[in-house]
Amino acid sequence: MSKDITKFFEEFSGYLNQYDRRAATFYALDLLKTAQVTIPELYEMVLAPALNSLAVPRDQAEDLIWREHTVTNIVRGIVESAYPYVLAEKERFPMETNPGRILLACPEEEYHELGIRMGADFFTIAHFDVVFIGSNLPLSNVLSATRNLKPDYVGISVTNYLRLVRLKQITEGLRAQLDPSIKIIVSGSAFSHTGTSAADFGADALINTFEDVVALGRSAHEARA
Amino acid sequence: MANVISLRNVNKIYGTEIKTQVLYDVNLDVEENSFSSIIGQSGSGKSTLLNIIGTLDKPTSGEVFINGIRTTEMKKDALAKVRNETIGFVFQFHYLLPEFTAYENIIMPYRIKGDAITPEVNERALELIHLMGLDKVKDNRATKMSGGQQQRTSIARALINNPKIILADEPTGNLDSDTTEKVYDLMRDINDKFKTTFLVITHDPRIAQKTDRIIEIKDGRISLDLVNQIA
Repeated sequence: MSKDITKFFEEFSGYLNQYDRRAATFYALDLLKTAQVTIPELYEMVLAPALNSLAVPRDQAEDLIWREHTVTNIVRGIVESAYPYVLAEKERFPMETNPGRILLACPEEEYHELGIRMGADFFTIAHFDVVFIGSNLPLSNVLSATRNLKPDYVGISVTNYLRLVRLKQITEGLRAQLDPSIKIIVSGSAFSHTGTSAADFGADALINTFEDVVALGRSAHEARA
Repeated sequence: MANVISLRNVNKIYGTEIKTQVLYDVNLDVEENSFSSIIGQSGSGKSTLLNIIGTLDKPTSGEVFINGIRTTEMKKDALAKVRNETIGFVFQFHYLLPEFTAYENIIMPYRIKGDAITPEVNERALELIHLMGLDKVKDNRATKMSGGQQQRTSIARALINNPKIILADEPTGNLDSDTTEKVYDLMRDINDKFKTTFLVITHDPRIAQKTDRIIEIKDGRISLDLVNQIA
C-alpha cells in the first residue's frame, strides 16, 4: 500500500491550525481505523510534526502558551483515544520476549509530557511492560517508584533545558541510592537543543524514535540470550 | 563571538590556618552579547565566582581575563579602572542612596569619580530612565519608589558607564513574580539594544530557563554547562 503521509500531515495540520478538535480527532483516528498509518507513523510523521510546525514567534509571546496548550490538548486526546490501536499493533508486532518493565516520567517542574506519553505507546507496541507516570515527578518519588515497581529501565523525558539539571540529580540519586547499574534512558528535545548526550547526565541511552525503542528491546533480548 | 570573560584554572581558598576551598579549577569562557545564568545551591561558590569575575575578589590561583585584559596581577587602581569601564553590578538589594533621587542615583558613579555631568551623561541618564520606565519617578527619592522601580534604578545606574558586562547577583531575588518578569524583560532589552553581556546568578527557575546558557556550580566546580542552541 502506498502511503502519502505528507498529505496526511498537511490535512491534519490544517485542522489543528483551526483548533478543530472534532475534525482533527476523526481524521487521525480514521487513518488508524483504515490502516493507512501505523501508530509510530501517526505519532512521528503526522502528530508531532504538526505540533512542532505551530511554533509561535518570540515577538508574539502572548499567543504562545494558549496556542500550544490548545493544540497539545487536541493531540493528547487523539493519543489517548488510540490506545486500542496500540494494543492491536502490539499483538502484531514481532518481539521475541518481553524486554522488561520501564517506568516513564519527567523530572520535577517538567510539565511537557506529551512526547513521553507517545513514547509509552511505542514501548507498549515493542512489548515492554510500561508504567507511565508522566510529568513533574520529584526525585524522592522517582526513587520511591523505582523501589516499589522494580523496573528494568527508568525513562526520563526532558523538554525544558533547565530541567536537565534535575535529570542529573535523578541519575545520581538512582545510582547512589538504589542501584549503580540501573538502566536509565532519556529522551526529549532538551538534548538536541543543547547538543548534549545521555552520557553527559550519567544516563545510558538517548531514545527519541520508535526505531530506537525497538532496538532497545532487541538488545535486551540479545543480552538475555 | 569573542570572549569577554575567561577564567583559567581558578581556585579560591579562604583562610590561612583553617583553609576552606570554595572554587576548584574553574575554567569558563563567556561570549560577548550573551545572556547566561549561574545556578547552584547556597554555599556552592557562585557568588565567589561572580565576585572574582567582577574583580571584587582575587583568585588564590588561576587567571582571569576581562575583555581580553589579564586582571589577576593588576594593582588596585588599575583594577578599579578596568572594573569601572567594563563592568556594571546589580545586586539583590538595590543599595540606592535614600536621600537622592532616582536620577541622582543613576549618575552617582560620575559624581563619585568627580567627573562633570556633561550633556552626554545627562542624555544617557535620561535615555536609561526612559528605557527603564522610570520617567514618572525620576525625581522621586529612592525611598519613594516601589521595589521594582528601585531595582530598575539600580540597573540604570549599572548601565550609566555603558559597560560591556553586567554581573547580577540575584537581581530579582527581592521582587514579586510580576516585577521579576518585568526586570528580566528589561535586562533582555538591554542585552539586545546595547549588546551588553549578562551573567546573572539566580535561584529563580523562571529566569534561568529563559537565559541562553545555564552554568550550574556545585561544590565549587562547574557541574553542568548547558547552552540553549535554539534560544
